[in-house]
Amino acid sequence: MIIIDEDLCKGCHLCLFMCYKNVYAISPEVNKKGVQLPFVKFEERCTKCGTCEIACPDQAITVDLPENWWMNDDKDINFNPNFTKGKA
Amino acid sequence: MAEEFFIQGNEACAKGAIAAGCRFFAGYPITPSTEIAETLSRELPKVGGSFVQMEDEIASAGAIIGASWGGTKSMTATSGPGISLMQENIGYAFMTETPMVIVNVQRGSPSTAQPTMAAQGDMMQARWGSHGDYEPIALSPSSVQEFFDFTIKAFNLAEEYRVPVFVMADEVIGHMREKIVVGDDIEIIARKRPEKSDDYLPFENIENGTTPMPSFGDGFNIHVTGLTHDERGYPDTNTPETHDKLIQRICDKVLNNRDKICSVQSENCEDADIVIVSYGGPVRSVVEAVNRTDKKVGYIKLDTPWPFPEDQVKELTANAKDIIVVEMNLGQMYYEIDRVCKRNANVHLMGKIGGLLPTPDEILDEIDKIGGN
Amino acid sequence: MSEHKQNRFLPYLREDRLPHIFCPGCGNGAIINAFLAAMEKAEMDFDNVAMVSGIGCSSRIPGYLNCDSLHTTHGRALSFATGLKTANKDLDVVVFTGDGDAASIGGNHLIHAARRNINLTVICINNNIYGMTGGQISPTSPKGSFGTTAPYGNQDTPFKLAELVAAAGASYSARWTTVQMENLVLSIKDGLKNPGFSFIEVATQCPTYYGRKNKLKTPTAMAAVMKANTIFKSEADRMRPRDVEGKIVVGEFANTQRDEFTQNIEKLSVEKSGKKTLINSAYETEL
Repeated sequence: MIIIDEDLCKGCHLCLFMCYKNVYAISPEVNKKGVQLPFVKFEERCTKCGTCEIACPDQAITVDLPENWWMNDDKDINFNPNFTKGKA
Repeated sequence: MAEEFFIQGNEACAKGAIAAGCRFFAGYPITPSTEIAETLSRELPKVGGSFVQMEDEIASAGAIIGASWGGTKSMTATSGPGISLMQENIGYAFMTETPMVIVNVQRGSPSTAQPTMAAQGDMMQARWGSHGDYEPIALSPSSVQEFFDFTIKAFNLAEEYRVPVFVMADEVIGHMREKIVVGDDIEIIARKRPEKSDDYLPFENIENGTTPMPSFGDGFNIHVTGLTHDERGYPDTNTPETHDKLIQRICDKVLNNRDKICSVQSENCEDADIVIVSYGGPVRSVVEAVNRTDKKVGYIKLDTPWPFPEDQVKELTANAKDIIVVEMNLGQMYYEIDRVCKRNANVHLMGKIGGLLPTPDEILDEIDKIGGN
Repeated sequence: MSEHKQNRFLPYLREDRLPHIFCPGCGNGAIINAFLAAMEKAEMDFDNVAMVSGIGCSSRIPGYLNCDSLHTTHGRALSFATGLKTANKDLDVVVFTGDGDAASIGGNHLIHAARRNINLTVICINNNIYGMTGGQISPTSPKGSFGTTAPYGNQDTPFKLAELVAAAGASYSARWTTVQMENLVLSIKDGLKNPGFSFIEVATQCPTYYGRKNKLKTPTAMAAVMKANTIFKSEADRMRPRDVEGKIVVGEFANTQRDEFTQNIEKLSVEKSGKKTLINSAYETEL
């Protein structure tokens, strides 16, 4: 379950860029603030990596994750292993 | 049991700071105030305090503001060039109502000028140095004993009114050696800890125009900013009323308590034709001159040049025909005295620069020149 | 869904001040998240965190975080933080600063704080431009980039901040960008845990000024270019210097332990007075 807070979103669309599974799409309509909101188009692709939640500059995205999921593991979780491999 | 010491002015200042509860000093070496830093670097570790030699005066002023919000009484000592560098952060301290003490051992100025000579050229800088409207408190000692006492008083005033306080000494007082008496009944005003409640506001008027100040880590989660802020401390830069209310309060907390803050010392003023007004080092020569002359001459010594003791000076000069302002600059406090007294007396300036105190003879000559009987 | 589930970073923020003033696509918001995530990961007590910042876009961050925060004068954040940390060394002092704030007006404070190795965590948000004043070039603007004060392109060579601070003696120094969130979070975590001066430079996008002036008008375009221009330090070490030029080299530049500043002061105090340095002594009359 991914929730986008319409009051906080400023429409930068970094979530689209950051999501490596392309879960998001841009809404064709603008809301009352003049923002083309992103929306969750392919939720079944979501791996709940949480990158969009952290990368959202406006704290507008909530990914329904288990409580403290990344604190449970002893070792550091590289929660998006496919994203950076040293080469662009 | 009172103790006696024969020490230098700067050492007395450091002693006073420790007695007043100062446990943090940040400074940068500058003649003629360096002995304060040297003494505190030796003494502070012995009483659980911290001494930091910062990279410059700007950082020193910043560090003592930080330390003050960290819950420690803090001080820095410098001279004119250092004060010039500190002005930005001094303005910040006024805006955020941070208690701290700035000792300025004045030297020949402007610029680097005369590092080892006395002057009183920073008096207006203490008043107007940083940009904008604020009301500073400045104390001006004229003996080693007073340098000790006024340093303690400066800390007390800073805590009481949540305001930076200047101690405006000069090179003569800083480097002079005299006997001082340290009593064991020194009055220390501690910072008041606010009570924890949901409606605590860190920047409102509760007493003396200000609020008890929490320290960081107390759990108040305060935001301190140099931007125009409301009573919660949140920036609100676009509302004219917020700015007006804030700056009025910051000024009023000092101005409305002038009768408690200001102090002068005077002699023979009631029936004197000539009243000499002075402060700091030159007072020593003024006292001597007044004792020697057989004319009706009195003197006023300004313990607190800022806020200017307007009422006291007005009252004491009510019967005077002439007023001589003796200071070691080309007229700074002179303009303030002229503003207050020009309606009922002629105000003359005896400004001496170059680094030497005006001598009693020079003051007597000035009295003769003006006349009087 | 029984109740509205909240963004996990919102409880740390002053919600009465949201949405924040940052432009759409500004990296500052993401860095707030990265810091909070790192803080959770480092298992730190948020109530014990004190924030210090200077002036600039990035320095507005502490105003949105619900902890003690000191928003100071331009460039001087590190000197205030030095005083605060020395006065109360139990606090976890975090400094948010920008490239103009830390490298230009506060450059002296930066290298001296690193030299002292005082236990601060400095998060330097490097957007290559002065955003708050309207897009002037900064000491980290790449050569040839445009700003309102460089209409013909920047002629000066930029600072390499992470390397500079490492050379000045910081015990932890790293550089990451806002497109490598996971590394950034781990790096901030390491910085918070490191008992010494920790400097984390975060290269970030400023679409409003840097982007518009340099033909990268959208946040995503900026992020894409940043991602394409990023190389890891281990890779850069094997490359010829001229190939590395103009790239953002990310990685750790220092991670060593040495004596910490406030510990030394405390040691001296114990030696001379037999007790630790006093904390909150301003509230006492008898010392």
